[in-house]
Amino acid sequence: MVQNNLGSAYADLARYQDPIENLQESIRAYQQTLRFRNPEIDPLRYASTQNNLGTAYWNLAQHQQPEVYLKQAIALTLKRCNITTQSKNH
Amino acid sequence: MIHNNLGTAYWNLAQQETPQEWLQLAIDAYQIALRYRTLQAAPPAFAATQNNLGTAYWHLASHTSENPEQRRNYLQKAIYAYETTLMAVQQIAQTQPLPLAFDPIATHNNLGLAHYQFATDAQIPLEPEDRSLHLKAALDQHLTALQGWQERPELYQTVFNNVLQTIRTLYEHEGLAGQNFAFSKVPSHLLPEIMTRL
Repeated sequence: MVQNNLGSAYADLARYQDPIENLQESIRAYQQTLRFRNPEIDPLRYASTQNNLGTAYWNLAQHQQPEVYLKQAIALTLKRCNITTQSKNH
Repeated sequence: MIHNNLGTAYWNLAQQETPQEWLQLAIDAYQIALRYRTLQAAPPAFAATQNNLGTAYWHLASHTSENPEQRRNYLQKAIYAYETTLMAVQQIAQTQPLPLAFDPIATHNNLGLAHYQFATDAQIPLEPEDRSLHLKAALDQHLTALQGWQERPELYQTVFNNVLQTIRTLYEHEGLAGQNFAFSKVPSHLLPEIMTRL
């Protein structure tokens, strides 16, 4: 099944480059696969794709920057060009 | 360039899907998989997905800092999923040995850590007997992992430290009785090193 293999390929690629984008592509491909897999006819293949989908979501959770880091990144960028969030209001 | 970076950071902030949300989606997918990947239909696949489910719940617990009641619930689910994994692994080994897609020794170690976290979470109210049971279960799992990883020096060291940590915590909460219990479980050839490092 091409879409399922595509999902795995993106998931593999995510280990080397642009993890968030490739994981999102991988999730899209797995979701596409699930539309065409019938759990009543081929339960184990259907389950295997659900398992892979779960692992892609799990990986995305590892890469997602918590909000606090993003706020720190913003504060640091502003500091580098001598801007504070307060002075922007004037 | 700076503005561009700033724009991206603000954009990411607005788009923010939290790790909790991704982990919940992961758990949903694993649970759907388990409706079809049963222990009877596909034993190694069942074990692998239960193992994934355990880790997803465990991580979800560590992302739930603001709600101790929910954290307790997730840790219990992680423990249950890891125990189910190991039960399946044992059954596979006894009936028809089939290759596994994961290292069950890591499951023992993670199960030990989940028990340890449950026992030592200051915000989870726990009777002393329950804490004692979780700490002893943690020790038991870490000792199993220690045995399993004898040929893997780096992993062995990590588990060895987990064993030490668990023995120290048993001593803190239960004094010498706790420590003596731990010593009675440790293989005797390891006792000298453990005693010098406590």
